[in-house]
Amino acid sequence: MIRLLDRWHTEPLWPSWSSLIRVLLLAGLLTAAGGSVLSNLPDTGLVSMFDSRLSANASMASVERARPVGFRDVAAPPGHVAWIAGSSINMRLTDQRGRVGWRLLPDIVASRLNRTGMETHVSIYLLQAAALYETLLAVEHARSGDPAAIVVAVNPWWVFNTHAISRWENLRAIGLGLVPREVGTLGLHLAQMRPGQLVDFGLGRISGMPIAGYALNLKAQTALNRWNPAVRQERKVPKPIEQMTGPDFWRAYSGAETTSEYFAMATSMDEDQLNHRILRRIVKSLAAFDGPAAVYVPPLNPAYLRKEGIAEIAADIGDEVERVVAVHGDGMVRFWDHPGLHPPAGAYRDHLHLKDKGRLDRTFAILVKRLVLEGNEEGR
Amino acid sequence: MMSGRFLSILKEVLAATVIAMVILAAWVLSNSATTFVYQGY
Amino acid sequence: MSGGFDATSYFYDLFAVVLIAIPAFYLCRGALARKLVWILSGVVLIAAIAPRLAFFYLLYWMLIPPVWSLLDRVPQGLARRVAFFSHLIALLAPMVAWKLLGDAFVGPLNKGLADVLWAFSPTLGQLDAIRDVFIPVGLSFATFRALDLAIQRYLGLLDPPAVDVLAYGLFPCVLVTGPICQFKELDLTGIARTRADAEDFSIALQRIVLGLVKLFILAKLLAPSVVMVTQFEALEVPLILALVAFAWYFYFNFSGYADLAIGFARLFGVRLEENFHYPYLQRNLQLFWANWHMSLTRFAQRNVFVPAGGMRARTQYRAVVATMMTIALWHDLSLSLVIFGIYHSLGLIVLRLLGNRKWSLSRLIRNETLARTTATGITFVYVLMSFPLLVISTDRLAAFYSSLFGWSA
Repeated sequence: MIRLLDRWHTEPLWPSWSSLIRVLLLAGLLTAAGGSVLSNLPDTGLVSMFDSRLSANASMASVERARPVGFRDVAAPPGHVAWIAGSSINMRLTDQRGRVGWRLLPDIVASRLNRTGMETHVSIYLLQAAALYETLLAVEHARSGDPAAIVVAVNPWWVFNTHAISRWENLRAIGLGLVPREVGTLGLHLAQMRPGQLVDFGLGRISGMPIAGYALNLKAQTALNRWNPAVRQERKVPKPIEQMTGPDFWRAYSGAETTSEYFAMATSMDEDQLNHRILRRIVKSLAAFDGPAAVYVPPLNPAYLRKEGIAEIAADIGDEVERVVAVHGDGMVRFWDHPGLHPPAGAYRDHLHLKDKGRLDRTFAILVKRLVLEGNEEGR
Repeated sequence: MMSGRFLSILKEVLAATVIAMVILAAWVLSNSATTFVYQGY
Repeated sequence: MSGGFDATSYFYDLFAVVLIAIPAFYLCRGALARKLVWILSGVVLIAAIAPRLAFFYLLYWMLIPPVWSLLDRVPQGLARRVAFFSHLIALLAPMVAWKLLGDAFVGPLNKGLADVLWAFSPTLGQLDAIRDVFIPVGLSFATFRALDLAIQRYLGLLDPPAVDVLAYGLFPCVLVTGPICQFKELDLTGIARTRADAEDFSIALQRIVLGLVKLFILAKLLAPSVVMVTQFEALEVPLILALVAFAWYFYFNFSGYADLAIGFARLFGVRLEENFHYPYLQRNLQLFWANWHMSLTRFAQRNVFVPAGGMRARTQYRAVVATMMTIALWHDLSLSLVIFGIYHSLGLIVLRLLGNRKWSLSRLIRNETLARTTATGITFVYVLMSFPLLVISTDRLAAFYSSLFGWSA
């Protein structure tokens, strides 16, 4: 055994270029063949936590964080509405029988429109914790699905947060699944990804293996952890600084005494900032889209806004998004703000996420209906 | 002469198979994308 | 075992970088251009972890040549010696601060470097901000390589130009995962003469495949043993089994790093020296240390053992202790590692005493094979018993060992 290993260490087994190239080529071919077999195994694709809970009129194009799958290409019917959002559309609602469950705002809006006689199909492009860059990619992706209208939620927490133009975990997912459509975006893409992710990105274009690899790896890890009772304990230990993700670290380490103070510190609406440039790119992409589009900023919990002048910053963020939409939207992009879009403090679970839909679905139904009808009038 | 050539081809095929299997096994056991497994909602 | 470092992503990056750097390296004919390929690859590789980390390493290595030229102006004698030792301390400072202060160093380091990057370019700052917090991975390796280089220059053994210092400091293959290669191993003076050679590429490929097997298959399968050992209180299987599995995990993981480093370096025509040579199959503790993380042992031999008088009978034991302490404290500055150093020093001293009296196990066991196997077994167990010191915090050590021996008793 040792002698064999020593030979393996010191003796060139393929001492000529021709044999080396033959071995490499054959190894490459066999890896590709094996990879295609593995990626065709059952259960190697995406699973979505919402699959079973959606009504028939909404299709899900979800990306779960850290899953290198991108948006699933769901065959959406012609005339569908693309709704791009982060976690702000997740609602934890209690139904009449007291059961608590997750619902998605666009899904509820679509049901409502269908009940009122307007047949509507909503394609939801949901990216948990979508930062601005991911929203841009989702917009470019949604456009290629040829929707009748596009609705985009830009998260007030992330939109001008200079510490998070994207989320690292999301980038892993997006790196494989979403191809930037425009050259400018491609440059931004390359600047953010790691060299290894670029290899995955390239391989993912020609083989299903990088995507399947994730699912298979998750199975392997689960199997390995199953006979290890200690693993569950480890997860309960709070993370030390060195294991924090970027934005979490900046928040924890900003010197700010409260989260809202950090929120204020990280926000910059300077036009030269990268996140401002990304927002302009989003709006320009929507303006170039051959149909109506709307942008809205999911409002923050008013209770939260009472703290330390955060209300002013939140208002400024809304105003700046509105201004960018007005200046760069070529009159094709609407900015939605409406009293009905501001739920009371009691409707919130935290600073952004809702547990009570209030009038929200009614207001959005009206806005979406108007948006689609305007689009029809404009000749689509 | 023929058998020597055959043997060297066989060795190359064997080596390539081993390499491919190692790459695939390493891929399945250590996918870089799973380092940050999303654990909660 | 460092928290924020993800070896899979790192080696995936190394693979991607090398894929571009190899053709670039061989297409460039000039020495300077080839050195720049290495430097640039190194920067890209650590910038992938976080741009601020690349900034840190650039700063670390770029400051060395100007410091040397300042040192040269100090008059010979005591003043020069004092200045030189201050230089060594400065080189050690970031590593010592990290190991002593932990989070209290990592936090400000990340924040401070990010602030500087931001001031330099807000765009770069924003691209940097999305990256996870970095721990200064590779700093222990970099520090010891820098020390080695500084000492060799002080002794007049070499005097590399600034670009060579950077090329050595940022050579991509050994950046984060070691080994602590010597400056001369890179053969920078002959870099322009390196030709792409099929035999080198073949050996490189073989070595990389071996590294993949060790690091991403064997070590990955044994990886649960890390949690089993560190969370030993909740363990349902005998702790000794977990510990043995951990020992093999540790070996496969660490020597897998070395295999990949050596393999990738060979693609550039660089022949790095070995870092592991069947350490668990050695017949005594001295041989174990001569074959385990050999680059660190060699470093300690050159720079501690010999200067401390290891070659003289009167001072040899003192030198053994100093050497083992250096090796132990390289891992971490903690009480556990002090115990680790003492434990192995004692083992080595006893071995020397026995050796001086011409005693060996074959006096007890006539059958040579059996004697060898027994010696190997004893050495492995002796080493095995010290591994918990590397991963268990000092306050839990007593509980660990009583749990370990409680089962065996």
